Amino acid sequence: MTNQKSLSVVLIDDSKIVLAQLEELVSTIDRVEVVATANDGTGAIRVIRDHSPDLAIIDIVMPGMDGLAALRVINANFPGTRVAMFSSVAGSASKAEEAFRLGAIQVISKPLDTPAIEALFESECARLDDADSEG
Amino acid sequence: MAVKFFGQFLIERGEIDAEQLRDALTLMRAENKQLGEIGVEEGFLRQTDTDWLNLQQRSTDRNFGDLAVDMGLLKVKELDEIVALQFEGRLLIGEALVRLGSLPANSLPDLLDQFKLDQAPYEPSRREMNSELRDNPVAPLLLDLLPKFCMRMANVHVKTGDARAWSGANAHPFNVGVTLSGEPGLSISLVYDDQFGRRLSASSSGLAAEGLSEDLICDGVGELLNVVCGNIVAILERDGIVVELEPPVRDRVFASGVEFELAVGEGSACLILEVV
Repeated sequence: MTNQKSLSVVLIDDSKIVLAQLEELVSTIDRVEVVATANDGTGAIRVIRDHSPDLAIIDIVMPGMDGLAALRVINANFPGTRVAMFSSVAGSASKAEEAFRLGAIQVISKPLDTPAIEALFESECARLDDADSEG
Repeated sequence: MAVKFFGQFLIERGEIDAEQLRDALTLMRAENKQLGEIGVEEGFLRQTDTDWLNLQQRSTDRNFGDLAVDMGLLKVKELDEIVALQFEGRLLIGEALVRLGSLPANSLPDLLDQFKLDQAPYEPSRREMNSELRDNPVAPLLLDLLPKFCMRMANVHVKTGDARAWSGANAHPFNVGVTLSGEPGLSISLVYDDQFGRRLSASSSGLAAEGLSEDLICDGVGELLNVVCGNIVAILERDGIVVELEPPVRDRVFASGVEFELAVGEGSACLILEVV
């Protein structure tokens, strides 16, 4: 059996309590590792540039550069990082559509939807395995 | 006079103490069944359906029954049956207190009548909306959704009371708010004490209350407002009204506004709305 590669993740939210919740959830999941966190869009770009994570989970409503503006930059400059949005405005059709249009792979509603986040990690781990086996 | 729950009313009147109220609430929690639980017992729903509906309900403004019918998991007739069963079997706070021996059974009807009289001005249909907010579509949605989300996300009872012009005096030490900008815009702040903020933040996040710093408590309260207002953005958008949600900001300084008193189970809090 081959060693499975960990899924490296960055978490971006202006709420420290949301980051704490997400980190606690990740700590219970095998193969997923939080490599950095940040509190706004500019921070998101910085940690993605520094860590080249497999996945970024980004809030939409944040001070300064918001999540959708960051998504636009990330998709143009860091194609190796896939981005999922995690937001209180995910129920807004216009926001969700814009996120998908800008390249988000998933738009998840707040408050923390544990099964949705777990399913996201599972599918991203499977994708990592597929990429690995294809060499 | 203030907006309150029956249990608070009884404590204020000296009929019971806080310990007796806590015991009665514990008994109610143990005995009262959720709609989903009854639906499973009656064979109308599978446990997996109920779990899924409960999860969906946390992030929408729909109630369990409507959501179940819309998703084709329950027929309207089945829902009516479940609601009737829940109503029939429901243990109310007064009955729980009587059962625990905290209140004499023969005093309950009179106390309930007095409570209804005391709280009549706070019934939603009678609420006098301040003229500043009368045409604002955000305010009634907020007053409707905030108690629901406090209950769904944190299992915290909140009841909104009368509106009055903000007096300029901060009754509680902490505040955090969000702004819904657009036409019309509204700035929404929760002003709260440590006890209320700690309970709300701990319960909604699942983190231990003792370990929460002032910063994290503020974050938790702000996050709840963020979720409530995110839902308002989505609801208004369906009606063709576009508003943008701005991130939570703490330690606001209020120039003016309308204050709504809040009845909360633990601690104290109020809501300040400013048209922007």
